[in-house]
Amino acid sequence: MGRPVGTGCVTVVKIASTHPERRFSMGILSTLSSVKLTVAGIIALATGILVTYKNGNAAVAWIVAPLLLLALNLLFALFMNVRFRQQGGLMTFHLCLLAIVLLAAWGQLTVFRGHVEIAQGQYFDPSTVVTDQRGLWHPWSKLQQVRFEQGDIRVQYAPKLRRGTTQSTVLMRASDGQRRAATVGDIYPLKAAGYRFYTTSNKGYALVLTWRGDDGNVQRGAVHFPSFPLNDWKQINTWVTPAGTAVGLEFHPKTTVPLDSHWSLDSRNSAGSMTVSMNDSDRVTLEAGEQITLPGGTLHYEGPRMWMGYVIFYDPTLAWLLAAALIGVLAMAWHFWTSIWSRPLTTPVIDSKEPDHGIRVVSA
Amino acid sequence: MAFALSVPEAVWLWSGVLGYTGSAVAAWSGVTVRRNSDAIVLTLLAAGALMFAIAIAERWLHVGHGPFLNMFEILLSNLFSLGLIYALVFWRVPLVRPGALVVLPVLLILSVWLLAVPSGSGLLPPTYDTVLLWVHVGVGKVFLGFCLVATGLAGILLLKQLAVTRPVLGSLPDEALLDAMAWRIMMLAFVFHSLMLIAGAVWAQDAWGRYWDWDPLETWAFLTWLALAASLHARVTWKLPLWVGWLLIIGVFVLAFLTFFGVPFLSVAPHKGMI
Repeated sequence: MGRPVGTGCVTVVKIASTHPERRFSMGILSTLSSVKLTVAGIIALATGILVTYKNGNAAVAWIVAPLLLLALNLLFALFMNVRFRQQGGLMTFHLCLLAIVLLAAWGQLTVFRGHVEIAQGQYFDPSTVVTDQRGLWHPWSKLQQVRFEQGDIRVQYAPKLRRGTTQSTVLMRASDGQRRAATVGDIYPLKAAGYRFYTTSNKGYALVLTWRGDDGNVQRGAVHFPSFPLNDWKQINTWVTPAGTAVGLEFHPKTTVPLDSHWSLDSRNSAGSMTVSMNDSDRVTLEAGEQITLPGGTLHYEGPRMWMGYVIFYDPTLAWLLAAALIGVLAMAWHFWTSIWSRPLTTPVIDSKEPDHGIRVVSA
Repeated sequence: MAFALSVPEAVWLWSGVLGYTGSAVAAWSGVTVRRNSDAIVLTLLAAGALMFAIAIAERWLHVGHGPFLNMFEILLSNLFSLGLIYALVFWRVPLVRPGALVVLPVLLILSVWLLAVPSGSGLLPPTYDTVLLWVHVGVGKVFLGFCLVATGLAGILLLKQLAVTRPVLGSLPDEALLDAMAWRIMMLAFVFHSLMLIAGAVWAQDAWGRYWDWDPLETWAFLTWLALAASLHARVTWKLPLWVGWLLIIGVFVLAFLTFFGVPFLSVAPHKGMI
């Protein structure tokens, strides 16, 4: 019935048929499985990428549609092309490409991206996470399983305030119940319950305050100040007391930021005073441990801490994507080796001892 | 922090440029006067690569990090890697040697470019302090090296078609043989390009919390991969005239060249905004 023709790596099987309808359908199947369609699909994908590259608002369909076409083309080739199926390495490579596309799609459905700020001594609270992207099928409950406490923070700077390494200590409770410390930062994210917490350049001071209301209510918390040292000139924030009074807070770190020498922003050296203002004329500066009486209660300034900004990422397909990509490349290399490289070009012409194919013109 | 070129670094760098220049001159004069200059070409090329290696080491000691940050460092490291890879292939695979007539002038152009760009350096970002960077950059350089070898063959085969070069290049080895060798090398390049994308994605996941984000370098690297994939498919699908295949090889190299040297140049840093 079928006879493989062609000279390339991938050969289309042409099946002769006397029935016009069958011939027509076989023609369609042959087209859908053809390498020509593969080339067209690749060109369409490149075009789609260029369109979305030039116009960030372009629809994702510019990339998804060619990918679907290529996936369809590959599936038909698997059924229609005998030689393709016989070339194990080549087929494995293409199946891995298909797997990568499917895994990437699955990843988009289950992905989570978000960010959060956590102050020293504070436990990670999923309710404070700001969601940037959440896949339709993201298992939201998993984030509730993440529990860690923010420890010390240290960021090194080179002259001219060029940021160096970031070290953020996190305290987690291990399965044996013991608290264990781990240092994360830069290329070493915190990995918990499938989530990855990446430190960012966003970090700064947080002032720990205790409110003792006249009604006996006591609350303790931290007010985060703008990123430091990026915004060292405006360490201000506003806060509404539990009694409903809006106050302005200004932090005066004792740290001076040197521009021409190496420097570390270290949470262990956090120190500074806080100015409380209710209007322009009513300003009181407190040192750590001091307090001020405000309408409805007393505000106690415990002292400064630091906060770290994290980017949170979840994608359960990462390991599978890597495995598919590596297996695919190995399969492709295997195919090239067994089908092409290990075979002589023509008659033996390459002899490293006799370089008769040198640059020189061998005959005039 | 800007670092001026130190005197020893400049000496090694200029020695490397002279080595490559001598190699190119030897290649072309050998063809012109019809004498085998392969040994001289290889010796000068290898010497040039060694000089660039020493220049890199000297700079490393001077600035405190490897050649990964700016255009000067990217050009310097590629002059070394391309020269080394080409010297090795030239030595072990005699069939590729005619391509030296194209490859060595390309290396000369890169050398001149290197001398023209500012030699300052910067602070290595903490995200670059990983073995993944070495893997990513290393396999990328091997890819570009193989791409250059194949482009040399494609270029010389195209040059041979010109009437003006025919008296000089007319009796180079069989076209079909050189063509087949060029495509074999492009397949090798495809494997290494794929590895470069994988290593880059793993690094990007650790460094920036995403494995792919369509930044300019990622986009153009992927377009290069697609162009190479399309070329390989087109070659086995259609009976393309040989010269079309050679143009495809050169086209892929041009795309790769722009990705390696154009996008980082326009973006200031290799992955703009990511460090």
